Amino acid sequence: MLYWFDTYPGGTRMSNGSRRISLDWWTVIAALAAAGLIKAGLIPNVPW
Amino acid sequence: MTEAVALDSTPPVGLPARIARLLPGIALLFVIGYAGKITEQFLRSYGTAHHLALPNIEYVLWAILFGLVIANTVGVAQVFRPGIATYEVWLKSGIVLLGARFLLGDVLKLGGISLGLVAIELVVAIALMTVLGRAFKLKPKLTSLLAVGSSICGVSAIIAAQGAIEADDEDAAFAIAAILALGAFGLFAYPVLGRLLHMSDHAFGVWAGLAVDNTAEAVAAGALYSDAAGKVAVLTKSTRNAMIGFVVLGYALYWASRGQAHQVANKAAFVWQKFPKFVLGFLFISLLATLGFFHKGQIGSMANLSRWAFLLTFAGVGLKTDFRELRKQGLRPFVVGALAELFITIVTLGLVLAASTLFHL
Repeated sequence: MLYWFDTYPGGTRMSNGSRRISLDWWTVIAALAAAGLIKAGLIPNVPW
Repeated sequence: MTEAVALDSTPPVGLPARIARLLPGIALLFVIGYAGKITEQFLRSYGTAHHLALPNIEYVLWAILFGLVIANTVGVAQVFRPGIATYEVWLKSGIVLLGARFLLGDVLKLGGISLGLVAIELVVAIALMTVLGRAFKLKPKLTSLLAVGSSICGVSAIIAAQGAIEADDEDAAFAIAAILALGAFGLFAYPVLGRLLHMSDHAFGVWAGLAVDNTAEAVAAGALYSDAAGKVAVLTKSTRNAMIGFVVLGYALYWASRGQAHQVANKAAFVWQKFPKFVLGFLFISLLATLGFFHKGQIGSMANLSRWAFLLTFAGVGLKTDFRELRKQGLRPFVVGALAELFITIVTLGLVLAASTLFHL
């Protein structure tokens, strides 16, 4: 079970056995999701 | 990372409420960053229209300056703080996306050179900080935190080490204050020195990645020099960040052997836990780009998205640097840090100039 986010670099194991995902991993997930959206053409062009 | 702790330290609230709390600060980051971008564009067009040779000052500097002015004059209202603390999220996401602009072969080549230089920098920085800490009679754990902060990656490394060596909050606050002040100074001083020394973009990027302590400041210093230098600074700094687990483990074992910290049961798990995962994301995106997974237009879009993420980061760098707070922390840790940084600057400059000759950086 995933939670919102945790600031400890390695994440935290919760008392019910689940693990909170670290902020570090969330940044990777967010960037990969953005890359996936660009690849899928859902974000066709990002201007600068 | 410190600031982000505040996101978790409040009573449990739903996800929409948590996101809502972040929005004012994120909006402020965007407004300040975008104001920097507009200022750069305005000055460029004004110079062209009036045939004036105005210096080309990048949005990076404007965004940081606007943030600094706000933080050190009117201050940052509480409502903005949770959102401003997300600057590190934007930084790391931006670094992952920047991986699309690197071919994996270049990453491995430059990363290999950087790794050798980082190893030397680590030894010099840790040895120097230890000697200076003893000479200035700083508390031993404060010296350890300053050594970790100056040798690897600033604030994140200090926080990671604080838990591992069971240092006081006060020591961590001293070390963070000193590292932030020196990072802010380095951010402005390094590009000027680089120009005076006529350094190439690659050489300067490696130098900024090696010598500037905090990741955001290192990336900003590189970007202030040039786009290419910014890319190389990210790569070198990420190589340095990857060493965090090993250095913190070394200090944890040292303090545990003296009975002043818990024993480390599983060393491999410890190193993995401290490892910055965004480095893996960066390598993964770089691998995909190398394999031709993205076409040219998509790589351009990812690079631009990375620039927007950095724009928010640079605004955050300015907003989080409050010199009034830094002054409260006292002078001695700052003097020790400054002396060590001065020496590290000279040593790393020598290393980079030697590497430039050997590897044609």
